[in-house]
Amino acid sequence: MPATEFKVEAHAVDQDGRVSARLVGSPGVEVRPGHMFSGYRPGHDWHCHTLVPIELSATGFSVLLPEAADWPPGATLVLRGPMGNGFSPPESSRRWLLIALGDADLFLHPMVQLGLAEGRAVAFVSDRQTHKLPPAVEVLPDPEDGIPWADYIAIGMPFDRLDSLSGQIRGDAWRMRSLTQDDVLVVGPTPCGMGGCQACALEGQGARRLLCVGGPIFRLRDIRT
Amino acid sequence: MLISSGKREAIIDPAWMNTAGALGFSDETSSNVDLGRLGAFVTHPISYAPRRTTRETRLHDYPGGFLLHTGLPNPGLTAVLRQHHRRWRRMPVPVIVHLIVDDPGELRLMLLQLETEESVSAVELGLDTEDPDLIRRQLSPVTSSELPIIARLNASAGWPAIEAANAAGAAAIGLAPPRGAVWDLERHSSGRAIGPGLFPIMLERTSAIAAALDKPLVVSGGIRNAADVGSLIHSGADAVQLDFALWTNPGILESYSPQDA
Repeated sequence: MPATEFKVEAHAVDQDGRVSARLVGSPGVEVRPGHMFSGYRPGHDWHCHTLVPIELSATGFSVLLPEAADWPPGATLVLRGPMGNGFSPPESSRRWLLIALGDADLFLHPMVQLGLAEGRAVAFVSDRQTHKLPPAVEVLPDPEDGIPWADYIAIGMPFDRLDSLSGQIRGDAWRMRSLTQDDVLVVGPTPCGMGGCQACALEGQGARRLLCVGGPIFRLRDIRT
Repeated sequence: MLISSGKREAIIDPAWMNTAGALGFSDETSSNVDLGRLGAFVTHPISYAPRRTTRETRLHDYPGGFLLHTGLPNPGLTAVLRQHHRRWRRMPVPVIVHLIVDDPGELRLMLLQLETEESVSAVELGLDTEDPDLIRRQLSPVTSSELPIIARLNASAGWPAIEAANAAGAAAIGLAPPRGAVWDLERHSSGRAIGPGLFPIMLERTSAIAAALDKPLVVSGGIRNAADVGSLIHSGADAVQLDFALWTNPGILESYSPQDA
């Protein structure tokens, strides 16, 4: 896993009080929606923190500031990644349903920006009220309202919601979908960031997968438990 | 450091390696860590039967470190051998297989399997008890094993536990950080304690135990940098094991010279 230096440029606080850090680094690092990094501040961190970009730009990206991290503006970080290939909606898909479970709403915002920029219809469902969505995005109260409509579904969720998601996708609303083209971004601890500690292991479909090596995005079919 | 079962020997040079659970089952982390700079590679903990990941919270931060609780997932020894034995043969350093000890009968079967695998130089046994009688029972297969065995105990283990492991035929004694707990979601959550906050404890235990031990001592826990390695060696450790330093200070492997000890 390549390791690159980034600098913390600034902090920002959103309406919900969530603090994000804007990171700038090597221009050679291309970051796509759904990518993940595992990063640490040398001399200050004893494990890597999982970082999922919540805002992308040409010069860098923003991530939620990890709770236990001391990363002031100006700090130098080492980031392993980007991990995975990002979300991969079919080229022909026109109607995207984005479902955020737990606190994963911000992780799907880059997909909102991408979908609208490419002229796709975007609907959003979230466990929590989110203030940052553009007016063009339709906010739905329940995923089942959007599942029959969508030709691509992207889910963002924390690790510990995996069992509950597996239960939901056995429900009637999901029965007509093949689940082979819908993605789920799973976010969990990656203390080593290099496939060594097994702390990010997921079990499903008879296989053990590591978020930091094979993930963090999986086809929905592959993570059913 | 040389460890011997009386039938086979393993030489660990330089006298440092990774802690079990830090670098996977074989060469998964080789693009981030120069495995050739280790004195030996210790596998992720392996059990006789497969173990699943825990469903509980896996990481808890606290000042000075963190707790890690994974459930020690692994596919079981037979599957690990099938998936990794060829990679072990290509490893640039001796391979030490870490086994989770639950039952002496299972341990005997695992040792027999490993004795026929040419890529395995030694075995490390993770002992989760400090009861000398239980240690003697769990380690009963050790005396008939051909492979040198490191008996790894929690640093909080008293001298009777260490003596029991020693008398059971261990080729070396390992000292591991004790488990810890935090109060989370209205209950205790426990896990392996990892981080620099442990170092003073490990240094003190090393000093106390090395003086009385007549076998090699391998110490892990709390090591941040080359100076910490030197402190432990000067205090009587014959070898050390690195965990979080390999994740957040990979340059440690270039910065310490065994000649500095």
